[in-house]
Order: sequence, then structure tokens, then C-alpha cells
Amino acid sequence: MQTFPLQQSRFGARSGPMVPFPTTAGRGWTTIIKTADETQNNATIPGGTTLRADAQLRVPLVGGHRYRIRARLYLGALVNGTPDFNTTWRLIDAAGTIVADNFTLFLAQTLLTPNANTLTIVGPTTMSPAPHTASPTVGANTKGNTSSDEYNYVRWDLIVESLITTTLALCWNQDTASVFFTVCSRGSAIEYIEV
Amino acid sequence: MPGFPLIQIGRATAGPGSLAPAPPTVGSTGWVVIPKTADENRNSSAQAIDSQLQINVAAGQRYRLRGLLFMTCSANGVSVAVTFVGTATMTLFLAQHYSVSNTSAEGITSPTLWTPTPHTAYPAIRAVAVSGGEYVTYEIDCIAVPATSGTLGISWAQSVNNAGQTATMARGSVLEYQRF
Repeated sequence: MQTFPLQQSRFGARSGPMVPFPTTAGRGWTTIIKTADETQNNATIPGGTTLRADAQLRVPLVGGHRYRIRARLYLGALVNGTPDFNTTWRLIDAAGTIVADNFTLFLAQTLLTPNANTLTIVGPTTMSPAPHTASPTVGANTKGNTSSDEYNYVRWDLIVESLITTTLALCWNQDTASVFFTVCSRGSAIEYIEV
Repeated sequence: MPGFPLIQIGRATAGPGSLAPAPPTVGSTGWVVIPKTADENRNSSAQAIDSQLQINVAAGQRYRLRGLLFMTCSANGVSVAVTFVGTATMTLFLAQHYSVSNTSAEGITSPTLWTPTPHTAYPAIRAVAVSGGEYVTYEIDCIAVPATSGTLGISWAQSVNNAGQTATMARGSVLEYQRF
């Protein structure tokens, strides 16, 4: 077994042979957690069904580098209404505006638990079909189901490589425009690691 | 720079108040891992907090928790049941459960139904059928914002009371948490 210096141990110093890092970059997961609820609705965001980047859940990508990304999200509808919601991923510019895809690889899988105790899993064959270079189109596979003050749980697991150095953002919107707020809860989070 | 490594693994000793390792700092990006270092057995359906899979929480702080539990029972008809429990009251509690039975049947409880509005109560127990000597898994995700300080952890027991048999939380089951 190959040995590594003590300071390379991911689990702190210890004696004996070290287990090699699981990634070429040699880092653990970087976690970004929403520290405050974020809401949007048809009143504050004209055309509230317009997809927009989450204010915090964003991943910096270096062009030509590959990343493993996972997201664990709690999205709900506040007060009333049944606007439902969509989540997906898009590249954004420095101003946070969504820009065109520029991926050399995009593989994605989702798991969703809507209002009822049902489980919806969509695999990469459907979520990121060949040639596996496009972010998921908003539609039936990205849609969550909410009604008054209820929360869905959404998981995303991705492998992503961008052609350029840029930012990848978790994006979401109301599926049906409503004056009632849709919320992405504090505590929702994404984690990423270069592989 | 936080003073903790990305992942901390420690060995908690039995009983509340022995909650090693040290808690995470706000903004640290890693998870504090609390592994179960020995099998624990229960001989009734009386729910109680796990001797190791629990943390201390502080009022006004914010926590993310996740766990993967491997459980079994010693005889058919006993099965296992799990929930969250604690002494802290909550400002916000959102939780999701996903289990896989010994026959690979999926069980799931969405946040809407497990921690319904006003999202401040501990969830109801969730049972999974398992035959004697076989294993099931529970995967749990949670966001917790305590209103008061106290404990928060995994509660479990036999699903069907049978004092002559045991339900077991396996060594290697894990609870992880972080602050944000």
C-alpha cells in the first residue's frame, strides 16, 4: 500500500499507512448552506415562473475540471396556493443572470418526495440524455408539488464539467405563477468536490 | 479558518452527556460524524433516544443532520421503528425519511407529512418490517432550528413489543451534523 505523510490524512494525524485521497484534488466536500429562507412569487418577480438562480446555492467551476455535486433541498409553498415549483441547474454570469450552457459533460439524477409519501426518482438517462452536455430542461422531471405550507424534499446528484471557468447555480421558480410565495428553506444545501 | 478538520470521527461513550466528538462551528463545511461503535439492543416497543446517535443543540442555532441506520431484529413479527426525539423545542423542524426493508421495499415520508405545518414538532415513529436476523436501512435528513437548548437524536424501538426478543441498532450506523 502506498504511504502518505501524516498531514495528508483527511481524518487527522494517525500512524501507519494512509488511505489515498478519494479525489485527484485531494479535498473533502465543500458545503454551501442557505442561511436564510428565500422566496419568490408572481408579485415580486414579474412573470414569477421565470427561472432564476438561487441567491446562495452556487458552485464555482474551473474550465476543464470535473466536479461531483450533490444538493439536498427543502422547498415549499407558504400560506396558500398551489404554485408547485421547478428546480434545475444553469450557468450564470457575474451578475447572477442565467447564460447559455457550455458543458462538456452534464450527468444528473434526482430524487423527490412531494406532498404525499411518494418517491420520484429520475435517472441520468432521462435527466441528462445523450450527448450529456445540456442542463435539464424545466418540465415534468424537474417539478415539485406543493400546497399550503408544505415542503418537498429534493435531491440532486451531478457530475459536471464546464468548458470555461464559470459559476453553476441551483435555479428554481414557481411552476404556476402565484401571488403566494414559494420558499427555498434555510438549511437547504449543496456540496461539491473536484474529481 | 475553522479549527476542525473537514470530517471529525469520534467515539461517543454511552449515555446522554457523553456526546463526543466536539460540536462543529458555524460556517464549517464538514460534517461531524457520530458513529455507533457497538450494537445496541432493545427488548420492548418503548421508544427511547439512542445511547450514541444524539447531539446537544443550543437555542437559536441552526443544524443540518443526516443519518444512515442499519437495524435488525431477532425474530419475525418484531420489526423496528424509528423517529427523531429530544428535549429541545423547535422553531423549525423539517425532516425526511427513506427506508428500505429486508425485501427491498421502499418506505418514505415526505417533510409535508412527517413534519407538517407548523413544522415545530418531532415526527411520528416510522416502522419497517424485517424478518429475524435480516437488516433494514433508514436514511434520514433534517433541518433543525431549536427554540431551546437540549438533546436531539434518533429514537427507536421494537415495532411490535416482544420482551423475549431484541431489536438492534447496528454498530456502524451513523448520525452526522453540521451548523450553518
